[in-house]
Amino acid sequence: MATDTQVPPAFVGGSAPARHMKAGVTHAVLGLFLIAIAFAVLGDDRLTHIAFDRTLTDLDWALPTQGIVLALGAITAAIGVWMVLGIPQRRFKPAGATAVTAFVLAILIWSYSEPGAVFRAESILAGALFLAVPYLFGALSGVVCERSGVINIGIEGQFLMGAFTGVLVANITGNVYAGMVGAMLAGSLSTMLLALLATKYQVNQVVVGVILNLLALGFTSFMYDQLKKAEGLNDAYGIPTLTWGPLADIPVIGPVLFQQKLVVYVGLVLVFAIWFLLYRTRWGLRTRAVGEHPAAADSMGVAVNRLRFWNVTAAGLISGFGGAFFTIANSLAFNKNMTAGLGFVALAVMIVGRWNPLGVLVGALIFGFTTKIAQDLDASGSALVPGEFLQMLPYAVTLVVVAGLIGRAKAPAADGVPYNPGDK
Amino acid sequence: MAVKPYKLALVGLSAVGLAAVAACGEAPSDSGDDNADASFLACMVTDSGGVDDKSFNESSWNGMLAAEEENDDIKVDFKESSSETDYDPNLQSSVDDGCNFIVGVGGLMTENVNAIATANPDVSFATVDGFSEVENVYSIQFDTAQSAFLAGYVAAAQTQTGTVATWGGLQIPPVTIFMDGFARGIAKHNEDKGTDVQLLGWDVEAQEGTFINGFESATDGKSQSDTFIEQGADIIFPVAGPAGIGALTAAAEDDAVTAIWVDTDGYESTDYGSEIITSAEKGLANAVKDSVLAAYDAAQGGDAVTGSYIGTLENGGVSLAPFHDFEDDVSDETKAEIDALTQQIIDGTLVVESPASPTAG
Repeated sequence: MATDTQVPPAFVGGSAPARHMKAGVTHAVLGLFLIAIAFAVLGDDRLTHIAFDRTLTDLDWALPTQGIVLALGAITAAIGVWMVLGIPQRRFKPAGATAVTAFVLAILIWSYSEPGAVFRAESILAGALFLAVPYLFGALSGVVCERSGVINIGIEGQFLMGAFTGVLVANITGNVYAGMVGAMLAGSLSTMLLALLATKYQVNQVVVGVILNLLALGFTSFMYDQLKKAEGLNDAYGIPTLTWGPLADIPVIGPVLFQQKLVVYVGLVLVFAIWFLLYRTRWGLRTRAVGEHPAAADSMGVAVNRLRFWNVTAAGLISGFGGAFFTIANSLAFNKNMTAGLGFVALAVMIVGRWNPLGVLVGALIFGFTTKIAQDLDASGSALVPGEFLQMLPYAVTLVVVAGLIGRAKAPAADGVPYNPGDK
Repeated sequence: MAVKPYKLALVGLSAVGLAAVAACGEAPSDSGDDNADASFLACMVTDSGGVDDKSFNESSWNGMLAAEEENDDIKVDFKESSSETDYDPNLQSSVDDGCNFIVGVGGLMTENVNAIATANPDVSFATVDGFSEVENVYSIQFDTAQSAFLAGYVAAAQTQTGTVATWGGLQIPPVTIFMDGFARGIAKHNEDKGTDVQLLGWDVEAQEGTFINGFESATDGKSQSDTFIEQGADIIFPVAGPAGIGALTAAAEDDAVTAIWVDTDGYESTDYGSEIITSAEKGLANAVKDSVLAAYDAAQGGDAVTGSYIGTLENGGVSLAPFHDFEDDVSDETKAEIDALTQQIIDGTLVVESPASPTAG
């Protein structure tokens, strides 16, 4: 990840200890809260069950809940105290991350100690990766656009277009993979409109993005109503789960990585491909230059608006493919507004990931994991946390991650600023 | 920074493409052209599922069409709501269109129907899945706990893993009543047959369970159902209208998993008949049809329709759908027990309790 610009110069060496009262007290209080819970709520007979439900089905780990929560609480509190007393600057962030992770783990282990709840590690992790897919594609599309200096707020609309067109093309051609290509092209067509308005006509990109979302919602809803009248245009098409032979039988890793649908692999490959393209190629250098300082790029001979146009158009291929997640990857027919706002969450994932493909991967995984945990706890009937609270969890976690761990996320300097070679 | 002509051409092409795709759709057919010069106009306002939701909006609309079929002097029409904010405008414009009878589909709309009915005492209204005390509102309710009870009993008899699951769209009475009945049916089977079938997704005592916060997102329904399957459930009972399709796709992807549908006979109304053991039906179509005919009769006397209707196993307003593909899988013993239970519920010797059960007020 890029080096931080917010670190004051005095601490660049990173060895001078500094006091962090607010963060320290917060962590100490959280840690004490866990310790109190361990003694007050959890008896010493509470067990948290962890199962490897797909490979080692006979295995059932029963961990003593009280002891673990106590230990994790102590870690969190100790880090808090360390921060109050003074912590070397370069240790501050890792320590904060450790404290938050310990706290979250403790809460998880507490939640899964309720009677009837079992942490099915393999199903949960595999499901988390699958649910991270739409965020991954949406956020990667956003990264490509915004790195080029164009705000793409229309990811939701591109999802809808992709989800709809994917099913339609699959039905017409009878080939689900043709449907996925159709989804990409549909996403690309809608970003092309954004690209044209943003570069040639220099319209406010946020406004255009919002309008494109509404256009896509209206268009797909209208078309959905029309397709309902004809047979065989909106039937569900699905893709198989790929099982990589013996690799799929490795505990934990097998079900998570080697027993997934095609979209998961495309997403993972794309993360590294876009990272490589952005940071290791001439195209990437130019793209970042155009997003940070278009005038400078222009003076070096980069055709700013042409590059922006094609980058944004190409980004639509990614978000359109992400739209296919909703229909084809889930073996579902299209339904009105079926993306249900996930395109906007993908935008948040992009910011959590700080406009960096690797950061986006982490952000998407956090989202997928919390979504899956929320569903799993809700389904297991764990009485500890109410269902409504669980549905809030992914968003609450984002807020904590964005505000607490990442701090100030810095957008590309020329993000959203139209470039007109005339005015320097 | 002139944009090259070929780029404009590309954008132009894409626009033409969109327009061409749009043109493929047929013009919406005029729904009420059969009885063009009818004197009585009955209108329906849908919930957000839309009139082709393969669930309760569609059933209600079929009832409207049946009424039109039966009486030449009745013409029917509908307005679709895409969200709750559409209820009031749709109801108001139905009044403005001169509708003589307006059916609001869905318990979420009851308050809106009450408000507009109070303002328009001369027009007859009906609310589906809700109870209203307003004079000119006809309440159509269903004691679906009864049919869901039978469905729960079948599920408990059919499960191989000993775990079944249910989840709902929203935690509102027309949804939880199904879940209550389902839970009590399973409990009845456990009690009578000594089984220990577990139900995930609904705790009938605590009245808490799993809801996906809406009736539209089949994607959420799918992943929620997958989660239940991971936890060992092999029969899923989604009470969420169109979002329930997600449970059917999850069942289709797993050979060991089947589903039980709600509102309509899923074997007929969805594309996943081979996954559906049975359905906890409610006879919306008949009830809506009867309400339209009653409103017509009342209107001939110059009155607004009054009263209420509660669908039960006894009057056929709710029922358990045929087993279709699972006819051979369900044992004769279970079938006989279902018949006996049905009889007991009709007799009143067995009462399926639910806090959400309809009351005549």
